[in-house]
Amino acid sequence: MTTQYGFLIDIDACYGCKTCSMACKTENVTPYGVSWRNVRQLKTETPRSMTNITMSCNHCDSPKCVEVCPVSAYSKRPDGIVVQDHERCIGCQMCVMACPYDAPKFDKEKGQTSKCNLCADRLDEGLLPRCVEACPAGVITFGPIEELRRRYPVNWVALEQRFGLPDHTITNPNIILLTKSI
Amino acid sequence: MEQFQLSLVFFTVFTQWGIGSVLAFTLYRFLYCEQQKNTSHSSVFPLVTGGIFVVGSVCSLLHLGNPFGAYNALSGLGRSWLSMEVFSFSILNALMAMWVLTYLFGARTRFQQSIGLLIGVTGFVAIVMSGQIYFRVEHQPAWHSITTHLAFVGTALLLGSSSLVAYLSLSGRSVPPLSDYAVRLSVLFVLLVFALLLKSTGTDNHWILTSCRIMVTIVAAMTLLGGRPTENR
Repeated sequence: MTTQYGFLIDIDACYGCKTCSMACKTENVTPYGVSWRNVRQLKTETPRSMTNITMSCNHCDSPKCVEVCPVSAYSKRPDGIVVQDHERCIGCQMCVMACPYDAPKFDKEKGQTSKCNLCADRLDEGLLPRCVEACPAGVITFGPIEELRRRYPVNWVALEQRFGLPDHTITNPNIILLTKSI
Repeated sequence: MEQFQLSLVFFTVFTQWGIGSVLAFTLYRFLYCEQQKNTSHSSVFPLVTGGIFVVGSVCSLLHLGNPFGAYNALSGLGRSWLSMEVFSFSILNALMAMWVLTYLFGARTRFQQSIGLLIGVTGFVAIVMSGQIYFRVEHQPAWHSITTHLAFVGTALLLGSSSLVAYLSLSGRSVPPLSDYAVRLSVLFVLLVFALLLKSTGTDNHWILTSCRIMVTIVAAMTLLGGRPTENR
């Protein structure tokens, strides 16, 4: 593998405008009801808080979608991007069931699943992923994940407890969630 | 998430029912018919069992967005448990058809029994594979537990033994005490798995699918046993 890319999400800076979701939808022309990037609003009582977390596919080191797909539709590129050969998909939704981050989305109309490909075509042209470019608050940073991790170490245990996230050791997601609340 | 796939509940329950019934019937014949003169059995039980298994298998296709591409599901063999399940159930369907045909055409008892045993062994492996599909979903505590496998095996044991007892009663044959014990033990086993599941995971959303399965299993077993004439109970 050359460079594993990933996202850094500055949770505290996100005010939930969902521009990233819309930009992703426009860029990838996803069908009605299918949104590859979603902003989840989490409310907690202790501490009293309302948090917006934008997330799409985390292009994990051990992607569950690749492991479970019976038709081998998913693969991991040398740059770590998990891509899907959409034509192969038979719509069994095994990837939807297995992904801890709810990244693959099922299109009821076409009976197929699809997910974020990290705007691979744009990256190949030297452009940033559309969501990164569109975010008005600079919430999403994109780059080689090791470099981002060096600058912003992640405390996964605290993050998982704070936001009820799934155990990161299941798939080792390439995402950094940044917040001062932990 | 699109996880509450009722068609998959019916797929797992019905195919496990079929496998359990073949095993129960085959073992019954081994234990109780070999010494008896009258070893012939009508093809009713194999036909009904085969029908249940085929209906279950068809149910597995109903949740697919593109059922006609299902054959592609074999391309993940060796990596995807779903592919391995598809493979094993394809073999099982062929074996099941063969088993039913041996009764329809009156094949030799040894041949019928050999296929019955083969279905039992292959079926057990297939059931474990089905369990692995759900077990490997680590972020769902209700599935990522040994109770998934136990519940699947329990379904086969309970519905298999109940079907045998129902068949023997309805066809006027005596029900051996061992078959009755098998039903009672299976009920206990399934309830124990249910309790284990509740204890380990609590009642979260994903518990619904598993409990739905258990309910379908118990209701089906009770319906079968309800068909027994009173004097034989």
